[in-house]
Amino acid sequence: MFQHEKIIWMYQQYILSRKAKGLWALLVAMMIMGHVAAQQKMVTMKGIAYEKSTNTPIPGLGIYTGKPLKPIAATAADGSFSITVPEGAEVVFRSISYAAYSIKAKEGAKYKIMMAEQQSKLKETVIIGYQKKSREVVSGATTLISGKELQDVPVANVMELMQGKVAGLNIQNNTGAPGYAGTIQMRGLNSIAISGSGSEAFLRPTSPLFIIDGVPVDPNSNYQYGFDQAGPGLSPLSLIPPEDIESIQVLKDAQATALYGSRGAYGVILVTTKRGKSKVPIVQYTGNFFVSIPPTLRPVIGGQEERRRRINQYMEYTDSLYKAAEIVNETPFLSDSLNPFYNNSTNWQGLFYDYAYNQTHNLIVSGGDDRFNYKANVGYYNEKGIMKNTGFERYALSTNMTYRPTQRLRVFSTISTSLGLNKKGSGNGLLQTDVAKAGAQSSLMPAPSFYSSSASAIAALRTDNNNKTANVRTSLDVDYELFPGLHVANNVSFENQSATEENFVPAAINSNFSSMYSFYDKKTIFNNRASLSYFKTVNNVHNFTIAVFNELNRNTYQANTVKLERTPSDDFKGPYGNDGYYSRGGVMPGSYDERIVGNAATFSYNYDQMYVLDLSYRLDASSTSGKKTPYSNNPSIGLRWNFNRLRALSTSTWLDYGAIRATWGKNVTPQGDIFDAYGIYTDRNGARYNDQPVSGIEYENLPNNDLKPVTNTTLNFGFDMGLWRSRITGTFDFYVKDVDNSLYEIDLPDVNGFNKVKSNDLAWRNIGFEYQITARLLPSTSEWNMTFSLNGSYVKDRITRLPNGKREMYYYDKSAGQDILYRVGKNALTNVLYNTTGVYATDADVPVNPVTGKPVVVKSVVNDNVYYTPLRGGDPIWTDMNGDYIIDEHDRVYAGNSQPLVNGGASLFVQYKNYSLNIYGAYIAYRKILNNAIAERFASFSKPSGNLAMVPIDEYNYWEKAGDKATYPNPYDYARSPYVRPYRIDQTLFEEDGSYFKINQITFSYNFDRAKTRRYGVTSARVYATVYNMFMFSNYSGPNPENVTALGRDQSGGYPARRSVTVGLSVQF
Amino acid sequence: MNQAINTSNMKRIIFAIGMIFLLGTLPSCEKFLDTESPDKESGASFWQTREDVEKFTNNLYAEMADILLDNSFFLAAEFRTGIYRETNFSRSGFNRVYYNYLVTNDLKSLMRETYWNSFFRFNQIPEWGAYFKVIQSCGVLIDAVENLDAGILDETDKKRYMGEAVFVRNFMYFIMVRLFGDVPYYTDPYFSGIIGRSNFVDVLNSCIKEVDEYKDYLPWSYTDPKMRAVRPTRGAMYALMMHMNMWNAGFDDANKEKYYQETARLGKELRETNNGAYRLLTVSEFRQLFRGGSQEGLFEFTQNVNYGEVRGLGYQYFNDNVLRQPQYSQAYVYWLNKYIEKYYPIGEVDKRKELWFDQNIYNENSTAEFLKFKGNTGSGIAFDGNLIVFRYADAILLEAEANAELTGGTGEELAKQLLNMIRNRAEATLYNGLGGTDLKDAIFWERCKELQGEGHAFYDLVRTRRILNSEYCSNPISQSAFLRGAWTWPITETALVNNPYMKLNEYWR
Repeated sequence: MFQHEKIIWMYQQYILSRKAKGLWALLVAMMIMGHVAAQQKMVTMKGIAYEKSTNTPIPGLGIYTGKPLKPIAATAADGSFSITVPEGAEVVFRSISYAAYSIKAKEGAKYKIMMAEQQSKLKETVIIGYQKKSREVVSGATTLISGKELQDVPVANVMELMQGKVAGLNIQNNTGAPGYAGTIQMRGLNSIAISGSGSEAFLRPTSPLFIIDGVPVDPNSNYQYGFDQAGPGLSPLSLIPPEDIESIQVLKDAQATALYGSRGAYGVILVTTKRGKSKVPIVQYTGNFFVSIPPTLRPVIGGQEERRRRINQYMEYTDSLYKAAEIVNETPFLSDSLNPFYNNSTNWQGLFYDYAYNQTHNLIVSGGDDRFNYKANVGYYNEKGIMKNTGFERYALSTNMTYRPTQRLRVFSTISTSLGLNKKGSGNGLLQTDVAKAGAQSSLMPAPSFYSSSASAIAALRTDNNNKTANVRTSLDVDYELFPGLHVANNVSFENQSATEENFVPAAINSNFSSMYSFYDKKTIFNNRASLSYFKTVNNVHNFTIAVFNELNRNTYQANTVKLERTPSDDFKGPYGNDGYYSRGGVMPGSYDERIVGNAATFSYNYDQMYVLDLSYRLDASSTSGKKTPYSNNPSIGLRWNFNRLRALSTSTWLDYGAIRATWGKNVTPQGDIFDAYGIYTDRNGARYNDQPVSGIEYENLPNNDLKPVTNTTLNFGFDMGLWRSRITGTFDFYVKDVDNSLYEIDLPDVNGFNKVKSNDLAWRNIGFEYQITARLLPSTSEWNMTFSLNGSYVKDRITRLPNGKREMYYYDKSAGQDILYRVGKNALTNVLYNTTGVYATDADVPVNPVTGKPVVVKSVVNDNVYYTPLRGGDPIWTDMNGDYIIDEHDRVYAGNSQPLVNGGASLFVQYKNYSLNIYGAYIAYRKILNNAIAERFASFSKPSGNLAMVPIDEYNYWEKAGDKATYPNPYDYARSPYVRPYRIDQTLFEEDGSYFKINQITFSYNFDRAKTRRYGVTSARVYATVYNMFMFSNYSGPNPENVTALGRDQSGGYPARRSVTVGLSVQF
Repeated sequence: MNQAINTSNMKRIIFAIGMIFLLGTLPSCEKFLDTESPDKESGASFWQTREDVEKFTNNLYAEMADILLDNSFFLAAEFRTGIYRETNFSRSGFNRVYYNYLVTNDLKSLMRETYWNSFFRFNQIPEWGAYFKVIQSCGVLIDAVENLDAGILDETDKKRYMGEAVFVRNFMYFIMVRLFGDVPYYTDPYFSGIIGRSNFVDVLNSCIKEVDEYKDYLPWSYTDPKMRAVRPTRGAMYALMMHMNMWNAGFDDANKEKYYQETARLGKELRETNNGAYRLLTVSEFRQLFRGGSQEGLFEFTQNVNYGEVRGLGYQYFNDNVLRQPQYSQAYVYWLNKYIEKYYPIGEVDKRKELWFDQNIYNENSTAEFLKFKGNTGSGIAFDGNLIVFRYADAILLEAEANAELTGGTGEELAKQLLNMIRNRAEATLYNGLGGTDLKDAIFWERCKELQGEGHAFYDLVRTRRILNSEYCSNPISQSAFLRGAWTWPITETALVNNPYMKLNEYWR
């Protein structure tokens, strides 16, 4: 239609100019050819199109014929087609996801068209800067993941399944809490701001920006509370049903993300949901039943054996036996073994962890054609946590619709609503400290009952916690073509998310006073983008695209809480009768109302799709930038050379495609809030002077006039290659990413008046290499189909600038001593620890200070008193760095890096007829973990009269008697333990290698033959079984090297990762 | 046909131009970026009205009053002169050790004292962070006012607020120089640099320069009586500059002549160009003078029981110490005869002696009271009156002093006249003695007398080096101790935190 119009238009133009007689002749020739074709014999072709890898029919597949190709039909819902074409004409089946399949028209048998999935990455359509492009002309680094790869495992948060699938995207599913998100890092560190201490030290999350069907969604919420998340804490990504996802595209370098300007610095992930594409409506149902399996619980010494060991410890390590006996006699749970209260062997962990049986259901109804199509998705997801009293449920309903009354006007709209219900138990979602505390109790204590000794146990089981997160997201996208090639478009979207938490703590576990807490928050995102774009081809080889757009963005957030203490009774939960003195409430910190205005222009040119030049520029103004720096620039440039189009190579049989890319660009993401830039003003609590009101600035944070958004500048070199008809394809990227102006809170000296300032002076550089290789191991003629793919990323960070021109700086961990070093020229996050080289075998092995004649002493501070305790056999050998025979804070060394250098994944797909097997895994290497959990386990022996669980340590090589060559120091010497602190967590003894290889998923599936299902009206049916997260290979001595914080600290209070076994069914009508 | 297409093309072009125009206008909505936080006020939304500026400025004085009236700055300046002693009654009943520490310059012990510091908070004087908070606020005010729309504040008001901010900032520096000697100095708004201490002579020179630049931004007086003396006037600027010059004259020997000339010039200007804004009150108006807000006041901290504005114990000069509580036989302190006889030589007439003292003035350790501020005793212990920082008489005496110090006694005649202005007002015997040292001493004792209890005494001793001489104080500091900084206060240890360039006063370490 369009082509036709164009020809007429050209014709008129040329007539008018009377210059192009040749073209006139050409046109006439074309028309004659069409005329000739029309006179040929027509044949009718019938058949069904299948997807080769899954053997399922493909609905809505475009069928083309003619020269140039014109669409003539599309396959029906069951993949069938019936077309009438001239005999011998070439009929082409094609769509974005499949390699084109062509066949000569011939009357006869029913055709079975086997469509192979698009292997040549070159033909993929990707979205760059809001524009759809063929990958062939894309200069930036981007990876496209099909939604199909994200099925078969029911997970709340689809990013879990992205782990190990995109080189350079480091996803760590480090919490098993249902509905919560792990950490996502694009191309190394994007923030090195830390808060908190010890195991709870918290690295500010920098998740990429998500654009869901054109609507920006920022999952970095609530981080201001660190691990103490307020409210339900669900990740917005958990509210999207994975079944509804058509594809996920990851934009990695600055050129690809440049047009997302003010928020693209951490990378951009585009999520596209399914669309209707079949004239006949399709109904697709997917259901999963899955069992969540808790991790292997650690063995515990129980009952009589525990008591015996504790008493024994006193007998051996107390100065006199009488004293030992006295201590034991004074400790009822050791001595009073006949008392039924103390005569137990309780399996505490078993009380909290259990198998959970869950299900999910999802139904998609879709249909329509190019002019009008629609989709509706209804999903239900239910996951009970492997910890008691936790769980997540999701109800989702989303629809989208495209309406295209003419070729010129296209209207696309989406409405998506979801409701997430979750229970956090007594913890805050990420942390389950009550469970950790209770689970680590002595087995001698009685199991929880109303009168039991363990409040935290009952808290974990009886707290009544209910959370609700409701999300509505709508968007409207209008595109109008003014002239051929000139588009005016406007995209407006609005998202509203509100979350509530209700928590009730019964009186019995809260010092006899019941208490209730309620939380409410509301978050809105408004975004409008108006754009104008023009596309023009000159002489068939010069292709130009020019676009400008303006974007307005407004984000608001406010949270309120009420905490009613001492409510009347467990049955009457307020609001009356509570104790106003203890009750609290009000607006939570962290409310914001942020605005961004962005203006952008982009220019792309390619010469015959061989040489590509991309230029773009975006200017952003943000309400949170400092007074002096309201604007930020985001320029980018990209070059690409498709060398396979060289004349010399264009006929080669081995080279399918090959390209070299180079890009440079800058991206910013706003940081801090309006108060960091402008300060907080108060009325000084109503104080007056001279009988007049006063108001002044808060002296806590010095307003930073120069507050700038964090800036990422990336230089990227890429190389793409496909060999032997894309049997082997590879993408390689090398990049240098500079992160500048990163926010870091520095404490100011008192003479600056203000206590702190958010400084912009932190900068570092990430240098990395990424590769992604896919190999189809068998020829396409084989009955077997086997695809292996491997990807990986190496990224190293290096600090380049610190505030005030410092060369080095510490993040002081005030309570746990696990300090972090920032030093220019070194990796960003270095643990600073005592260097443990072993354990003194005997007293004689301890070096003696030649001046005093006394052995090395260790400094300790107990109740503000400083002690120097001489070391003995069985104590750790700490390196005395400064040689003063005193082990103190000056002896710490710069130890390991908590950030992984290498990560990636691998997958294998095997298919034979209707059977297929899909295995994929992820790995991480060169990473140090601080095993705080094991330190705690050993440390539990330092207080035999305390009621911490006795965990068997027989599997560890620890010091027992003089002469032992041990790895771990003597855990039993309880008397000296507070002074020597042999199991202090700030030592290299507990710094372990955190490398692992994990098999995320093994799925075995079977496709029913169409013939068998047809009589039930089913066009395709597929059953599958999946084991998820089941196998992990690692040298790490703790339970799970992935289940650690972003700073690599293993936390006993964290929510363990679950494993699952799924049986699923997918049916299409 | 062709024509028709062209017309429709035209329409499309117009439409496209319209769209482009629309696109172009969207970003111009600067207002879109002005946001307000839902729960707190930010600087982006604060500076919108004249009231905002006024409230912020008013707060500067409130904060200074909070600091200086709470940490007993004025009290310390009196007691450190050493002319006061604890009465027997007080020692046996209360043991107010702080007198003794201040008299003997034992500030280390004073810092460690806990009980009395919970009332008088001398141990907060070294906490200089508070002064810098005010200094930062001044920078913020200047920065904000400069950028305000003319619609909110006209040029005169803008200048006045900026002038006020400059006064407050430099006043704070002056106070700090008196307390600590060298101080870190900056004037940039939102200053976040890390700096050490600058030589205080240089600091004061910078201050003088800035105050001189801004002095005309302030009016000579205000029409609103509530603002008189409470908000700085041009006169306050002059007084501040004169004080700073005189301070430097004491420490910058090479240039002292210049400082004296400057002080003399400024004094003259103050007297001759103030358009009748200031005058010396008469003896009968003394009560009004110390109540505050009089025509003699140049800068004062306001306090008013009726407004409910009373601050710590340091607020009340030393009424608490020098007045006898009705139920007690004596006040807590008495003064040494040796010095009070120099203030008020026996036999010489002086109304101040009659009005400010009772008949036991020369009777050590008796029931004597110092009544200068008695008229301002409110209900209970609340002091109901302004705390006077600078006043006209103070400036006149400084001018006199500077003139007397000028090389070759060139200003001695004027100095005598000025001195006699003050004596005349107090209805005291006029000075008609010699020039030179006699005149200088007479002016010194006149300052002691006139400003007794107003927080200048110790600093006059220091800047004139009379602190080294037992003729003028009971516990003189030795020359070497003086050079090592015995006249300063210790600086809080927290100054070292996060600041590698910081050094504390070695004398007190």
